[in-house]
Amino acid sequence: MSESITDQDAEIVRAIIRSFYGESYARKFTTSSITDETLVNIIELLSQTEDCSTWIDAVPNPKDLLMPSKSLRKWALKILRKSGEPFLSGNIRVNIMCKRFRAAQFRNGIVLSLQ
Amino acid sequence: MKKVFLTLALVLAVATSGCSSFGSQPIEFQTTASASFKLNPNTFDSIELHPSDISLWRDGNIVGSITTMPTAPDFESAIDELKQGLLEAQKGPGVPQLLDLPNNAYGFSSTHNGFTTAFIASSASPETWVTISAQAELFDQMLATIRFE
Repeated sequence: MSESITDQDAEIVRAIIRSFYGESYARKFTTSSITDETLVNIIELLSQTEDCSTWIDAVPNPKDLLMPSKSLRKWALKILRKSGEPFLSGNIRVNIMCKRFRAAQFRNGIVLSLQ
Repeated sequence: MKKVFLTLALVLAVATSGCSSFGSQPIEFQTTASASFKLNPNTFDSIELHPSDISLWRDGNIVGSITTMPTAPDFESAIDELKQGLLEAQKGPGVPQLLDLPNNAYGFSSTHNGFTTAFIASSASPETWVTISAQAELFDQMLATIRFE
């Protein structure tokens, strides 16, 4: 499994960000701007908003969320590649109250993690 | 004479040092939710404009943002929506705390990952409310200076 952030990974991240925060924030996320911290923050966003979307497969498996002591990026990419697919295919609708009052609390921390 | 001149020069320097800080006057942000607050200009050096919010940056890092939200059609007023929003926020990160605001306003805040996010509405503007999310320094300034119409 590739530990580099691929164009496809960046596309998944952008699709997730776009669903919660819109295109103007999504375009900030590129293969060169995304850090390990970005990936972890997005995974936390997905797990904390698990009841906010209409596609259950987007929820990271709780077993997978036990953060490893090494190869953080490999762990994070594995989860995002699995959980992020429905966002890419557009099969996600995020509940508006969730976007406004839960997801809003994550956004600036995620943006700050970009390099 | 030289002593008088030097004294006058010193007095002049002290008197005009306030003028040189002309650029350090707090900047007032007026929101459509009938709330305004002030931020010191040295706490950010650039502003990014998005469709419904602005973000504040310093040294290339985001330090805060202000989002204007139209009241969702399911709710009669912005305050009504925020009261429901508190229940939603309790399912998320942080522990939401009610803000100590005047009787015509309502709001709460929650802290996560270095940012405190406040959700604020006023009875004077039932059609919109604001989300202000900022790092500690900016958030404290906002809360200390917030005023409602």
